[in-house]
Amino acid sequence: MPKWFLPAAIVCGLMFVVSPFVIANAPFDSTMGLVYKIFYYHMPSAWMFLTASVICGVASARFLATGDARHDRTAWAAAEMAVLFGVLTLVTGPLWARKAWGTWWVWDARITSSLVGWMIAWAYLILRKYGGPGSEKLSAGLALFGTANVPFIYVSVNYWRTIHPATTVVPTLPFSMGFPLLFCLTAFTLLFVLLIKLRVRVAEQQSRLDALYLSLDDAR
Amino acid sequence: MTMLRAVWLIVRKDLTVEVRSREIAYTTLFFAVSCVLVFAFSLVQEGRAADGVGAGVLWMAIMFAGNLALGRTFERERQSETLRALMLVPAPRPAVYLGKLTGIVVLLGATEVVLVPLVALLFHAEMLAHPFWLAAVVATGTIGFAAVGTLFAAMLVRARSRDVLLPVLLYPITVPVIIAGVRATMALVQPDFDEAVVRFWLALLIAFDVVFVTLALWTFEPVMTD
Amino acid sequence: MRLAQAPPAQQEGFVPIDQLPPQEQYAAAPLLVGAYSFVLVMLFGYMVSVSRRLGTIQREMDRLAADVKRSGKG
Repeated sequence: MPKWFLPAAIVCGLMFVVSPFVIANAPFDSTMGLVYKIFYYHMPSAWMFLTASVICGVASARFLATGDARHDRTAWAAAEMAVLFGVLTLVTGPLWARKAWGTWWVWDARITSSLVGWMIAWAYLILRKYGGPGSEKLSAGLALFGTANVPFIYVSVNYWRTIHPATTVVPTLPFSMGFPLLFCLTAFTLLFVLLIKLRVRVAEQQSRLDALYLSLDDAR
Repeated sequence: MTMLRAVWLIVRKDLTVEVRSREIAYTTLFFAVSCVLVFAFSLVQEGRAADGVGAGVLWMAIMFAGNLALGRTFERERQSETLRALMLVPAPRPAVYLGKLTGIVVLLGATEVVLVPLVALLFHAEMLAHPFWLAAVVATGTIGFAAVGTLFAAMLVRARSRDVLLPVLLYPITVPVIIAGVRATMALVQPDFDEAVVRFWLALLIAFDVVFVTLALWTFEPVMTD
Repeated sequence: MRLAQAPPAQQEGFVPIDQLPPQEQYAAAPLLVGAYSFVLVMLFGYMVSVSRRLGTIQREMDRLAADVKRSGKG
C-alpha cells in the first residue's frame, strides 16, 4: 500500500469520530428541526454515489476501448462504491423524508433516477459475480449503457414534480451550516479515496495470484 | 460483403427458420396474452379497470414477452453455435447486430399486432383512436427495447446464468422506454387528446433509439470478441 | 402513514434557527440516530469485508511463495 494510505486512514477515522460533535453544533432548521441533520451524512453519500457511478462509466469505456485490465479493476471497484454509497443515500433519504415530508418515499425525478442508477450498479455486481468468464466486457458494456442512460432516465422520470431542495442551497447556506457540510464532505471524500484504493488493491492482488497459479501450471 | 447485404441475409435466415417452426412466435404470443390475462385478474376490480391501466398493461406485456423472445432467439443461436459462425462471416460485425435486431423487432411487431387490440378490448381503452400515433409510439418503443436487449442477449450467450441475467440487466436500462411508452399511450387513450404530450414522449423515444442503437453498434465488436 | 404520495409544497432552502421548538425533539431522534448508525455500520462493515478479502489473498500468495521455495530447494 502507498505511504500516504495509513496517515490518511487515521485522519479520516478521526474526522468521522469528530463529525457528530461538529454536526451537533450546527443550528437547527426552522421547519425541519433536528432531523435535517441527517443531511450532513446524506448529501456527501449522494455525491460519492454519483462520483462512483461516473468513475465506473468512464473506466468501463476506457476498458472497452483499450482492453487494459487496470480500467476494468477500477470500474469494478467503483461499482462497489456506487452500490455502497447508494444504499447509504437511499436509506438516509427516506429516514429524513419521513420526518420532514411525512412520507417514506416520493417519486420525484432526482430520487427515482438515483434508485434506477443504483439498480444498474447492483446489476453490474451481480453480472460480475454470476456471469462466469468473460463477464468483464459484459459488465463494461452494461456500465456504458447505464451511463449513457442518465439523461434519459432523468428526463423521463421528471414528469413528476420534484420536491428536492434546490441545489443552490449549498452556496447560500450561512457558514454555521456550511462548515459542518464541508467537514463531512471532506471526510466522505477521503474515505471514498481510501476505500476505492483498497478495493482496487484487492483486485490487483487477485489477478497477480491468478497469474502465479497459471505460471505454476505451465512450469509443471 | 456489404453491410446491407449481410443484414438482409441474417434477417432472411431468422425469418425463414421462424416461419418454418413458428416456435418463438407462438410461444411469445401466448406468453404475452397470458401476461395480459394475469394483469387483468390482478387489476380489474368489479368488472372495471382503473383508468389508464390499459397502457401500463400493454407495455408490461411487451417487455415481458420481449425478454422471453430475446432469450429464446439467442438460445437457438447458442445451441447450433451459429453465433460464432456469424462472427466469422466476412461482413462488418455490426451487421450481425443489425440483422438480429431487425429480426427481433419484426417478431415483437407481429406479437403487438395481436396484443394492442386485445388490451384495448379487455381494458376498455380507446387505443385505436389515433392509429398512426400509436403505431409510431409502439414501434419506437419496441426498437429501443430491442436495441438494448439484442446487445445484452448477444453478450450473455456465452455467460453463465444467462437466463436470469438478461432481465436483471435489461429492465433498469430500459426504464425510459417504459415510462415514455406508457405515458404516450395513456395520452393517446384520453378523450381530450393532447398532441404535444405525445410528441414529447415520441421525441424522447426516438432520441433513445438513436443513441442506443449507435452505442450498441460501437460496442458490439469489443464486447463480443475476447 | 402512506408509503408514497403527492408531496407538500416545496421549501426553497434551509433557514437556520437557534431554538428548537419542544415538540420537534422526540420523534426525530430515533430517525436521526438510526440514519447515522446505519451509515457508520455499513461503512465499517464494508471496510472490514475488503480488509478480510485482502488478507485472504495475501495469505494465499504467501503460501504459494513458500510452496515454490520448498519445491525449488527440494
